[in-house]
Amino acid sequence: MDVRFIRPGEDKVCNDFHNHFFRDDRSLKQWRWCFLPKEDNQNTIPFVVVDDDDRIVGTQAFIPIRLVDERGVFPTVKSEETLVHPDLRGQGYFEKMYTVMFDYMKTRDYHCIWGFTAAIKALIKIGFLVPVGTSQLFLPFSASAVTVAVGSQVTSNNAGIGSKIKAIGYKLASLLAAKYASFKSCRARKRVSASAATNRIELKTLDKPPDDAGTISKRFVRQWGGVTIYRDAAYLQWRLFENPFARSIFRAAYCDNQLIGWCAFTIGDDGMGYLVDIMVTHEESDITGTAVSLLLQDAVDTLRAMGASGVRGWKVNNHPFDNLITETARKVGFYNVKRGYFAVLYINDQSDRRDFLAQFDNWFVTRIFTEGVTG
Amino acid sequence: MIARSRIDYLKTQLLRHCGRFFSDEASQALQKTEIIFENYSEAVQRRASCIAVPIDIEAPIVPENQYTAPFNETELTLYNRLPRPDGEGWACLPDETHPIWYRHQSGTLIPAWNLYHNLFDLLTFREDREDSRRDIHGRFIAAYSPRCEKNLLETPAFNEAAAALVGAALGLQQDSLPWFELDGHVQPPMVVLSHDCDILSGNDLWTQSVRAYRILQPLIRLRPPHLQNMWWIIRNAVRPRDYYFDNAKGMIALEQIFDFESTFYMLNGSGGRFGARSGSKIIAELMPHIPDRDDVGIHYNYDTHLDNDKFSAQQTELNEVTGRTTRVGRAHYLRFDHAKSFDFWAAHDITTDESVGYPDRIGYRCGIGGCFQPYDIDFEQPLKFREIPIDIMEATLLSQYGDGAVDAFERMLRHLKQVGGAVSMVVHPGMFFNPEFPETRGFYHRLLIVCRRLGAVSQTASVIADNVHPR
Repeated sequence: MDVRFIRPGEDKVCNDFHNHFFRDDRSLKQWRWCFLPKEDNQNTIPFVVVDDDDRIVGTQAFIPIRLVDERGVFPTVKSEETLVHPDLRGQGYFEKMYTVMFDYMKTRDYHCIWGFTAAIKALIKIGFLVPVGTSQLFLPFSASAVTVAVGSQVTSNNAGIGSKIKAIGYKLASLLAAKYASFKSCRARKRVSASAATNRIELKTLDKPPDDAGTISKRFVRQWGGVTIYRDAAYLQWRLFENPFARSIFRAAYCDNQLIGWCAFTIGDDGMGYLVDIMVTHEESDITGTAVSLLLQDAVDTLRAMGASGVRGWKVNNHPFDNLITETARKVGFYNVKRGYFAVLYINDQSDRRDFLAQFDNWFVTRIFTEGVTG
Repeated sequence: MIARSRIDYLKTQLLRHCGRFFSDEASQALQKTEIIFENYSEAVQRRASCIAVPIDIEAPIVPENQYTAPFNETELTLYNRLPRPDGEGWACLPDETHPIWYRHQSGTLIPAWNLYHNLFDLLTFREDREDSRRDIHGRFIAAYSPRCEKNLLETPAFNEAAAALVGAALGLQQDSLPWFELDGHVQPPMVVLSHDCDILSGNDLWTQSVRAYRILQPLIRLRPPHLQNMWWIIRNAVRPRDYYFDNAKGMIALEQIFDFESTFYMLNGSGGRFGARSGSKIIAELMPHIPDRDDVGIHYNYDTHLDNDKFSAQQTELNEVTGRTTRVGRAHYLRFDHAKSFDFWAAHDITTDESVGYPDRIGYRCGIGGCFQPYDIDFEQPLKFREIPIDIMEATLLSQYGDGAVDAFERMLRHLKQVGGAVSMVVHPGMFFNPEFPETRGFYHRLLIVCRRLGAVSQTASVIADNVHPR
């Protein structure tokens, strides 16, 4: 067994390995979008494989992502594509792949590895921190919303009575929640529209990223503090506008014709709407609050018209902007569901931002970093 | 004696089609290949590296000798088989029982089926010409087509013939046998999406009356009334745009996520049961929501069928309302006359049309998934007009296949992926996502997911027409 970096031409076998074990249908184009633009200046793709006599039996990848804080922009990596063949589990290949990747991170001065996962045990063993369990924002539109959200579909006519009762329960819960959310949303809509007009805020759909997107990220961390993904035009182009899984609708908010933020959202193959990204920065808190409300309301209305069964977003931590989104989302009709992945974090011990990054409430991250159809 | 112009016409349609739906190399191979249209007796005597297409064996109106042949990881459905040439040196390819080509050892290839007449008849509406039956709207419907009972409506006979010719040409250019695998030579399948905006507001008298009728209709059969229609009446009385105008906006957003584009055919002009139910003002309100990548066309009103004055009035009004000069259109209720409509539309400056389809079945009305120029049989010349037959209407697909509708669509698109071509599909705003028609919920989204999974690309009707048959 050889644990090494991927070689040219191995993209297809790596993608096939993923598709086989996750019963997925990811295309080569989609694989390349995820991992190929990330070659570093030494032409190494941060994608490690376990090679068993020319057969790929394990993968671990990094997606380099730049973050920004008040001191400036700095490099990090997000962990992706962790997979070891079931026959090899417990034999240390997961650790061996990470050993290669830890070296990679340190030699290239990445400040940390971060990610979100349900499987944290193995990561804790090799030194990852688990600073927080995330929750979700959820707004159902229809009776199928809860079923889709929990990924539980009663498809067989021969399903047991228990499953059928559960399915009916989900539908009833969805319907009641949807009706109540709709009522709340109605009340919020009028207030938000009036406030948007007063504050001269308007929304526009963009079909390419705004040139000054990077400035917004920098202004954002100056206003809200902490650290966030550095979303410059190139990043948004790659992540949102060229996403081969599903592009996002990108709605930019302007106040007096000045860009102050945006909301990106999409609809997944499961029919659920997803808030992919949202950020707003303006020195007046009224304007910021109104813009967030307007963007959320607009996303909800558009996703409803698109036929989504509901909308999901992430509530990650207690970053002040994350809290503002949650508070505003509740007024628009969202529920905060305490169920989600864990954040995982491994900080480079040579990083001069160690303590800052370890405080996870400093982070503002949205679904924009996730691999796949929803951003 | 076959008019030379007919042969030139068919050849032009094939070459242009292949220029769009196959690789440059494949298209050039086809252009370089000598394709001779001649009598069968001459074709079997030919001894050269070429394709000889017999033209003197008439095809029966009801397809005969139907069979399938493996080709490029799919199957070609061929019919009206030609006799195998007598004499030494002839072989059937790919095999004796499922021949696509008769090949002489000298290199001559003769199609094993009646390629010329099958395709020419389809492109020139032979079924319409020889069968005078029409439904109450004056249409030749799928039920009248002999191909319907033979289950051939979903066979893109033109595309399959083009793919077979491309394979043969690629083989001939390399002095080898015809290819039956076209790896890398077929362009991604194309979807031509459109939306007939018949109803943009759900509170008009006719739509509400139909709902009222649906409440009472079951009483005739002594069954309980369908009271849920009461809810649709009330809902659209209070919120007329729900599931109509709002759905049009939803479709635009959904297509944006898939990076697809579409054409909105606007119905304006006179009202009534078969007319424009929502008026013209609402069209103007929809226009700002239609992005530049999408196109706007005219949905020829029911009463404008071959009526110059009414057509002109509708067109003038629509151009005023939309602020555009519409050059692309589709007939409401798919009303058209195969002999008169193309000239009629062209005279009104319409350059591209998407009316040629069946209201009662999905399928390739002219055997082509793509774009062609209609041919004037009387004057023996092609028209300077581009037709993109409509292959799939969402309601027809659902009623025909029910729960298997998405699979049926996938089957058609997967086949086009192997033989090259485009599928034209219409989804009405009111059928995009409407609880009144629960089967439509999420249906269009699922179709678009299939398109993305199969690597389909999208172009509007006018763009694809400009690509295949430049004006």
